[in-house]
Amino acid sequence: MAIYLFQIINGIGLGMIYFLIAVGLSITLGLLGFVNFAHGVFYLLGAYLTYQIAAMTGSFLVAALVAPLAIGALAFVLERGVLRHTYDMPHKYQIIATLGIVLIVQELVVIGWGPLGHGVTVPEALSGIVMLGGFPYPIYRIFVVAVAALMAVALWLLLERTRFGALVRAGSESAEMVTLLGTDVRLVMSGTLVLGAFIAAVAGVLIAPIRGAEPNMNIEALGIAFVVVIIGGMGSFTGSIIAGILIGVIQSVMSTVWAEGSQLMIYVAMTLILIAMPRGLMGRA
Amino acid sequence: MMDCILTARGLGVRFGQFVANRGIDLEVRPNSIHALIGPNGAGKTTFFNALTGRLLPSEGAVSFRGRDITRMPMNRRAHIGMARCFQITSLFQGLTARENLRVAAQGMRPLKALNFWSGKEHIREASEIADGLIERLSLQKLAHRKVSELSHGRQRMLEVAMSLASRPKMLLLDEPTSGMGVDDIPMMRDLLRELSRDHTILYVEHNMHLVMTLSDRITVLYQGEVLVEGTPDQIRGDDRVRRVYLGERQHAKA
Amino acid sequence: MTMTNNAFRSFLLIAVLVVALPFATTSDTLAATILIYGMAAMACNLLVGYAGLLSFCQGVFFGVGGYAAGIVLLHTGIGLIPALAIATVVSAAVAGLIGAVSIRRTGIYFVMLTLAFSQMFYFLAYSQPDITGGDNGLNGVPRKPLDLFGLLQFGIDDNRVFYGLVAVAFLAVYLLLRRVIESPLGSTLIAIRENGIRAWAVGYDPRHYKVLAFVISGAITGFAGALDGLLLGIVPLSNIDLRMSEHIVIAAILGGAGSLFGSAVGAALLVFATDLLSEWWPRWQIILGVALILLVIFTPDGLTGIWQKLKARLGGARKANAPEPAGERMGVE
Repeated sequence: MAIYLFQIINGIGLGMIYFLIAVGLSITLGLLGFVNFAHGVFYLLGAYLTYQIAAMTGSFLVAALVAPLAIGALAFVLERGVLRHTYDMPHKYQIIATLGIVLIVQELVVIGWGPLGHGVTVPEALSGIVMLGGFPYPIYRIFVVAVAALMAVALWLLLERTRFGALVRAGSESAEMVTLLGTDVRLVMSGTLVLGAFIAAVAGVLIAPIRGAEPNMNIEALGIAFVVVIIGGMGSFTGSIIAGILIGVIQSVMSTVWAEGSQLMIYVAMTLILIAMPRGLMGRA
Repeated sequence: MMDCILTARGLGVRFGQFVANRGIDLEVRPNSIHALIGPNGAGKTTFFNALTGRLLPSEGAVSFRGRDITRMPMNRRAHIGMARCFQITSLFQGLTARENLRVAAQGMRPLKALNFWSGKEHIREASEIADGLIERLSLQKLAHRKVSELSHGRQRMLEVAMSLASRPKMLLLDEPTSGMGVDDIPMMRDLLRELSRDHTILYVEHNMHLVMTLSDRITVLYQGEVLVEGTPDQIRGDDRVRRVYLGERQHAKA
Repeated sequence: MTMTNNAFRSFLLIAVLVVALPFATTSDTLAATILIYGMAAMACNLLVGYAGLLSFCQGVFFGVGGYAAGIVLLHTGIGLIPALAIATVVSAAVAGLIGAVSIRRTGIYFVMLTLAFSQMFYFLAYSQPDITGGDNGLNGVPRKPLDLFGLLQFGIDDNRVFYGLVAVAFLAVYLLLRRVIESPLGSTLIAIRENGIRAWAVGYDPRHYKVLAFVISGAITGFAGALDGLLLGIVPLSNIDLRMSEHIVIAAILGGAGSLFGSAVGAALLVFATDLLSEWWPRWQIILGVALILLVIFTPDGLTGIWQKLKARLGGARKANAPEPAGERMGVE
């Protein structure tokens, strides 16, 4: 029984990371109007840069600060350099462009770091365990939950209390709305993409000491981000949190019961939820 | 009441807190031309969408030829004799004019459209209807052009023609002359007059001259409710209508 | 079955190409692989190009077809043709299910759903190693001899003979898809893609047609997947993963969505490139990534677009003014 409680807590931590991956995608979907397959690479690079910077500087903290910023900058370049040219095209071509980006990044990652994954050691300050109700719980995991929660709050404040956030929220419903508000849509686009990439990169940073960095992690992340958006609803902050935590918990609990099937159950759960609630958890999707 | 082809009773449409339509009654007599007018924001399009199955009413009922169709989906309405066209030209853009009509005609036998083996001209009836409409509208020269290449006026005519492809009893037209130039409007007016001989027509319009000369009855909507209903003469002389439109005309474009 | 002159000429050209292929590639296996992916790409094009359904789960049907045929051939006494038939039907059924659920949403949600299903079936295959071999794949798929109702029997172990079988299948699939496109279903799908609301208004329930398109596409893709299993003797897990789905879509669009033969050419190019370049540089897909971006920005109509532009240049003004036949935007000339 206690193991399930343990896994639930684990699942919440994992779910918060899933939320971070998904929310970035969620806010850009409405503005872009197409599915950005390249979203997963921000997560991927977040993990790899953490590994690299931590290896070079010996400091996880430096990595954790620098990596998301670097990836935000990369997202800016990608938006300006590639995506901006595709906005007038039919969606299938836009998706192909993002697939192109994914291919390039994935191969570059393998060139840079080899085809096998790399482990990232948990930083000294966060290693060790703490006893929670008679259960040893890794401090790092608590750290993850704390950071993710902080980011969620910061993001919420940004979305709800700033002008930029209002534009992003409007944009996540429709890009047209943003134009009608008289703002330069392109600025909002770049900004939103950078924001989304930044958050996904943070997720990558956080997951690195848990799962390491490996070349296929963007595909898995993409699938999970999609599930969260599908059941949580596009552009819905609350929906993303609930959905993220839900599938994090499902996966963690299942890993005790049936390890090979734990990821499968995420998708089965999605299908069941969809059938029962066609409009998603928040009734908006 | 018994011989009304389309009736609405207490129809209301609500979007969350916003009430777009409230308690609307409507009776359209067979083979009449019935206009739906009202200033911007009166809820005409919402009501129209509720009548045609695009929106689900929040309250009230709609019936067609004595049959309750309140919750009937759009495609079924086409099968029972109600055809609609759209305010913003809504054709199959990448297809030719003739193909648009053929597909529309084929829609009456949707099961046959599941046929993935025969050639599409195999459904002869649809082809014949399409050719017939091409003739009727004198579109022969343009039949094999993509509709995106047709002038706006011609596209609006085709828009109406599409609704004829299903051999309907009743036509519901959403601003048929929308965006049409002064030269093209008589074309539409004559078409509608001709059609009214064998069809019932309910249409939304902003062109007052057309409405007054063409309609048998007019329903005026204002702020989501029926303001008044009557013959063109009655409406013309009605103070309330004048007030509502006078206020509107100060802001309206020509 | 009547064909226009144009269509017949196109078909003849394709048949000639198909016959010449093994000689051009100097490898019967590679040639067969090209045709197999060609079938998958064409089937994908039915959804992506004609129905306007951007499906990222074609790999599911490809893999399921392979697994179904492989399991039947390995564990039962069932012969080649019935096994292929079973694979086709099973894939069609899976496609029908996935299609029915996915089309409840449109646009972005639809794409995400298909991708999610792709992941789901990947993990399903991964989690059942007893059935699918899991990570190791389904090994030892036997190439049972072809047996036509006991009248005609011959072994297909020889790769050249196997290619012959695949070639016949490819041509049959091409003809079938051409028919589908020119059928009432095809024209209805195109109309639904152009304007879904209008389609409803004139009497169609678009969902029915979309599901049928999925079933047809899934059946053909599964059939191709089964042939792939027979070709390799193994059904690898990668046949059902997301990357497979992505590659199939890329092949379809590379050649030009809306051009059946174009997508087969796109598949051929992709298979060729993979075979040639992966030897020279294992990271060659970077070039593919760059090519895709350039393609999208400069010639989104893919190879077909380039082909049309070339023809326009060479054909001159005369051709450019000729009216296009109704509904025909594709086809080899």
